[in-house]
Amino acid sequence: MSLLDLRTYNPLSKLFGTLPLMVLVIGTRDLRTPAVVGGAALLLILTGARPTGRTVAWLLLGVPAALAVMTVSFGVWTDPARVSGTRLLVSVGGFELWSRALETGLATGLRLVAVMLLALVGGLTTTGPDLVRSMIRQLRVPYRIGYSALAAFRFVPRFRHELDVIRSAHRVRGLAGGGGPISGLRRYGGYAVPLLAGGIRHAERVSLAMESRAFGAHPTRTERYVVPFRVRDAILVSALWCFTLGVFA
Amino acid sequence: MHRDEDEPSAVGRATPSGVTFPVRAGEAVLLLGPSGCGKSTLALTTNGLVPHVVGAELTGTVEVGGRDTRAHRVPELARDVAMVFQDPDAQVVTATVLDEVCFGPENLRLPAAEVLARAEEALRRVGLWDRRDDDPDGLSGGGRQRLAIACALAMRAPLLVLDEPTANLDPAGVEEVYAVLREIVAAGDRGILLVEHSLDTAIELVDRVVVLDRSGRVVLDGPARETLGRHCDLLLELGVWLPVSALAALRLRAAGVPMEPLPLTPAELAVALDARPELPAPAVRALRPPPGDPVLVVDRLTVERGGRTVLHDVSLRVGRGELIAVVGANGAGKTTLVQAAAGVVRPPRGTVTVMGLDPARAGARELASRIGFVFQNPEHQFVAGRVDDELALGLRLRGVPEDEVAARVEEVLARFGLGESRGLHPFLLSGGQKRRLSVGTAVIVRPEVLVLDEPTFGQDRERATELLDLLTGLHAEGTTVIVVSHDMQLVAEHATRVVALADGRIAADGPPAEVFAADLPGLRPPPVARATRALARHPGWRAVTRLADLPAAAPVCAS
Amino acid sequence: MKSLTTRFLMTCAAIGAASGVLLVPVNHASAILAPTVPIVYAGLVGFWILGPVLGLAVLRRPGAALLTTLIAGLVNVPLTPFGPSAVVTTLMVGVAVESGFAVTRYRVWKPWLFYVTTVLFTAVYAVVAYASFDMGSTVVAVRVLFFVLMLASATLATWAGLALAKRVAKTGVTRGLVRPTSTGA
Ligand SMILES: Nc1ncnc2c1ncn2[C@@H]1O[C@H](COP(=O)(O)OP(=O)(O)OP(=O)(O)O)[C@@H](O)[C@H]1O
Ligand SMILES: Nc1ncnc2c1ncn2[C@@H]1O[C@H](COP(=O)(O)OP(=O)(O)OP(=O)(O)O)[C@@H](O)[C@H]1O
Ligand SMILES: [Mg+2]
Ligand SMILES: [Mg+2]
Repeated sequence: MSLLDLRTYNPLSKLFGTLPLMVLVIGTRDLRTPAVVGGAALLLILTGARPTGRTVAWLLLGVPAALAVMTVSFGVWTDPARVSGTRLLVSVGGFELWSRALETGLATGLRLVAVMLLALVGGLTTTGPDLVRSMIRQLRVPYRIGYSALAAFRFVPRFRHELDVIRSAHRVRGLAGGGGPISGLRRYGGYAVPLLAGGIRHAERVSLAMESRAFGAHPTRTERYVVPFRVRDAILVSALWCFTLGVFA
Repeated sequence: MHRDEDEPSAVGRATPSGVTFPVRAGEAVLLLGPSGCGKSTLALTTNGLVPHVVGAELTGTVEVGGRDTRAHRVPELARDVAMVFQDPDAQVVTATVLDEVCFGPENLRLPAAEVLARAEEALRRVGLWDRRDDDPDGLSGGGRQRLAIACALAMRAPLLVLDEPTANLDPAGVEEVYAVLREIVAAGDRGILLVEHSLDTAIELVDRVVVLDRSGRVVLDGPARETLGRHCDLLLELGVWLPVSALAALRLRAAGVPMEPLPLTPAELAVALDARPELPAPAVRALRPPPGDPVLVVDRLTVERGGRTVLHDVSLRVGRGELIAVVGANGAGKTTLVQAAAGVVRPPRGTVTVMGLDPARAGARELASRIGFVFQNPEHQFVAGRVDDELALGLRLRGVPEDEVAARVEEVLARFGLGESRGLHPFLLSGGQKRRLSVGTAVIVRPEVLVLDEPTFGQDRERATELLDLLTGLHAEGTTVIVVSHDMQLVAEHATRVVALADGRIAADGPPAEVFAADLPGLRPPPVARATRALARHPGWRAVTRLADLPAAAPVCAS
Repeated sequence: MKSLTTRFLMTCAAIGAASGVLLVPVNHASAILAPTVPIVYAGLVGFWILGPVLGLAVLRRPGAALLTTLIAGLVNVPLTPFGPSAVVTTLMVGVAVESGFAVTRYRVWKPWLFYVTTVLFTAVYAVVAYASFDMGSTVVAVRVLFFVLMLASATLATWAGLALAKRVAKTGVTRGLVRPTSTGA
């Protein structure tokens, strides 16, 4: 069963398997190609990503809704001069919606949805630390860089908490108020300085602690978790690339 | 492992300088000295962080396990020296307790089985094996510092260096860490170099002390108890903090009560006192005038956080002119209470009144001119690029005329000893100066009530006392002060009233002597109170909790 | 590798994490805005540029932009549903910003180089985005607005990054970390 579970695949195989599709689909203009690609990605997510009920609901309701919105909204932006030869669908006041414009809108919408769905294939089935580990192992990213990234995951909740505290600390000093965008921007600038200064100092301390624990003593280190690149990963990548060729060649 | 003539010089002055001393396996050495004398710098030289990573000039040599630290990189020296730092948060790299301990041995390229074996042994020694799958963030401060010690143990280095490992912990955390350290010392397989400000607990642990003076030279080096007992005057003169029990004994000596040998722990002090057939009557604390009309009223305040009730129905009346200390274990709800009271977090309507104002409705500026709040980390509150602008900001926001702003800023600069630093960026001040500045920014708008959340956290005793003296001064002038603190001796010395929280409820509320006389869970009485509570012969002394209560007027304890 | 001290790496991680957190809501917002009002999306590109500009301006060392963006992207993997492809996007920005300084062999740290690099990169990116949104088929005014907004957003972000870096430098936390170079900027 686990063969069908995309979460058991190497993060890089999902990334590099879908990357050519993402790039190529952006260049399309027709309706069929992005529809096929997006449909395939959706199928891959529904069968292989083991999405939660909520995610499935989001996908099944969200994708058509997004398509509908995009079709109309891009249609609205479309230059009427280019599409005026086609059928006029709606005319409200001086505003006209042409069938060709809707088609362009639908194509653009399909393209963007396809790219997003492709991104979700990897996104819903990959954890940050696994990605970092496979970057170290398979992409030969120096482990010292990889481990600073692992440490960075721990910075995130810390920074969020710090930001909350800084915000209330500033409010207590009477700095709140002034709801305009300019004053809002200034306010965030005021939060950013203590946040960054504190973060950089924290980073320095962590680096001292890491070096004291022999971080960087050798060109490699023991890894207890290995994210392997297996035969199934090779098959997944080739399958996705073959699919790419089939669709675009 | 030994050290020779080592002299890292920070810009201009060389601190420490001309230091020579060895640390042997199985020995626990305590490094003492006034703030800024170079203890931390010296600790950092032991594994080469000075001079390889932290910029400094090093003359002389530091040898660990026969290797010169200058000839080897820091990670290479990690086999010989393991280090534990002050901030437990800044030592965590990975996502679980087990991974964290494995991190060091993995860097040494040990086989995975060996890594796991080492991790298990280290975690069992500090009592965290059962929590190996937890996120380190879920541990208490003491737990995280025990984890840091486990990480150091897993390196199997013969020398363990700890730079103020308990400075950021509450009393319960300090106890946890020392319990672990005691076991390590007892095992006798490692040399320990400990830097610690608070001697009350450390003294029971160490065999030897090395004392540096202000210029970073070794002035004393010898067995712990004898050295402290015999040279206490020199140490006091240097500005090194003696154990509170020793200070108490010195005070008694000056009052004519012989105390030989000098007791260093509460238990020893109690024994020494009980050995005397008679003691002079303790100096009864001058009764303070009863508190004035209420300036802050908390009425049946209940606060929920994350679906959990953090404060249950808390009521509190604070009279004008009180100096209240809020104490309690971690998570008792101290921060929640004072933040709600000061309107930092909006309390439910009608539960808090600050001088007739409900923080639930009042504007931030209006509120801040009645009740000032000082956060734990002063940097969080700084917004300006200069010290004087920082002070002026609150006044300018309130539209105070510029000439009055200038006058008030001068006044605060002078009073808080910040005159020389007026043009500096607030972040460039020393820790103590930052703290004073943050108090200054709150008091410059002349609030009636000043609230401080753990202002002494992570600070040494000298700075903590300096700050409490400052607050006592403000208090004497009529400001009502509410301070959250874990430092029970400071609380006992300065507060007029102690409010003890436990699990979101007020467990005790009264004068310090009364509160510390009751046995409250999670609350460790200050050292003097611990000693006097144990007295069998002198019941009249049991209420003594402060140094100032002791019968002496001699200027021995220069606090 | 020699110049990549652990302290430098961790500082990049801190700046990267901070700018990455900033990108989380932007990533979500752009997922909604890009399809509906691409014009607004054009105004968001600055958020991707802020991090690497800040990293380079604060640290003034080779690799700072690249590392900052790598980590900003990685931080987004667990926080947004787009996962590893977020890293590809941020790394692309990092390479672009870094390249301006690599070309001048990390000798010039003046503000103009920051502006030139980011504006040039944004212009190139705008052309690609123009194609992907099929802006060619929209009204002329919208097309012009698309370019103007993107460039303005990039310029503003560069300015903000430089200003922030200056204020962070004044706090003294980067002492001993920044390579002593010419005192440009
Ligand atoms: N990175 C640095 N750059 C310049 N000077 C420094 C630096 N770190 C420390 N110093 C200076 O070196 C001296 C020794 O500092 P150190 O931190 O070792 O003292 P300490 O005895 O540990 O003090 P404390 O008890 O406050 O921790 C001090 O005068 C300090 O100002
Ligand atoms: N935002 C929050 N979400 C969920 N729980 C919270 C939140 N803030 C605080 N708590 C919980 O409320 C309780 C009281 O927290 P509070 O910070 O008031 O304690 P404290 O007495 O100040 O502790 P400490 O000595 O650690 O500062 C704790 O158990 C804490 O975990
Ligand atoms: Mg120190
Ligand atoms: Mg608290």
